[in-house]
Amino acid sequence: MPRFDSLEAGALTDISYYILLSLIEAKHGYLIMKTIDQMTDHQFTIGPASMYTTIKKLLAAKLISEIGGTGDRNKKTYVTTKKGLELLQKDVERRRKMVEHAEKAFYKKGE
Amino acid sequence: MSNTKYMINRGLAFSEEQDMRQLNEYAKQGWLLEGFAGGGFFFKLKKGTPQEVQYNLDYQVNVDEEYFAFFQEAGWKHICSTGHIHIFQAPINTKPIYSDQSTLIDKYEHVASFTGKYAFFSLLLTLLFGVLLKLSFMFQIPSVISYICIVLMLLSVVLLVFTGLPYLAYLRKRKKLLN
Repeated sequence: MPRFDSLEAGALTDISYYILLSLIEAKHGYLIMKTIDQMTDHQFTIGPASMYTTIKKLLAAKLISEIGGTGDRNKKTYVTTKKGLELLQKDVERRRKMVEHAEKAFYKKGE
Repeated sequence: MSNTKYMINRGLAFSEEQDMRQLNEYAKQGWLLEGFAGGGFFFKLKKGTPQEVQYNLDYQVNVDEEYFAFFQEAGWKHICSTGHIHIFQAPINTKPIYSDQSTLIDKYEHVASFTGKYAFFSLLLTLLFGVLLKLSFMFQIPSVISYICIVLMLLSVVLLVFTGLPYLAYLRKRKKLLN
C-alpha cells in the first residue's frame, strides 16, 4: 500500500488526526466518534466505514494499539502509542505553521 | 399480488452507483431491500411502507462486531451481506459512510487487492489447463482427457472473466478517485 507512507511522512489526514487526538486517553472504539463530535462542536464527523479502515491502518502503522481485553470483543479499547503521539505533535506543528502562513499573508494584504 | 420482487444485480463493480440509486427509488415506492438472492445475482425486495432512504455499500473482508457497531452508531442500519459485500440503509440526511477521499480510495484499493488475487488464481488455472490441453494433443492420449481439459479450461476462463473484469473496474474507479 503506497499511500501508507504519507502516515510515516508526518502529514496526517484530518480523520487520522482526530482519531489520534481522541485516543490520547484510552477508550472504547465506539466512543471515538462521540468524543470527536464533542471535541469539534459537531463540526467534524467521521463516516463509519472511514473510521473502521483508518483504525485498521493506524493499528498496522503502530500509531495506536489495542489494549487489555475485557473479554467483550465488541468493545475493543484503543490508545495512541508513543509513536502516534510524536507524529501527532509533528502534525500539529505543521498545521500551526500553515495557519501562520495564512495569517501573515492576510496581514500583509491588510496593510 | 406478490409482495416480493427481485432486482438484477448487474455487477456491483460496474454499477454500484446505479444499483444503489435504483434501490433508493424502489424504497420510495415501498419496495425495501431485504437481502441477496440467487447466489448474489439478484436483490430481494419486500413490500413495505414507502420511504425516503439511501443505500450504501461497503467492501470489507475482515469484519467484526465493531465494524457493524460503528455503522449503527452513525445511523446506518445493516441490511445484508454476501461474502465481502455489505449493504447499509439510512435516512436521507445521514452523512456518508466514507467521509473523505482518502478512505474512499482505500475502499476500492481494498476490494481490488483481493479481487486481484482471485483473478490471478483464475489466470493460473486457465494457463495450467491450456498447457495440459496442448500436451494432451501433442502426445495423443485418450481424447476423453482432452475433453476434460477443455471443460476445465472453459470453467477457469469463466472464473477469470468474473474476477478479472471486476478487478479492472475497481482499479479504474480507484484511479478516477486519485485524479
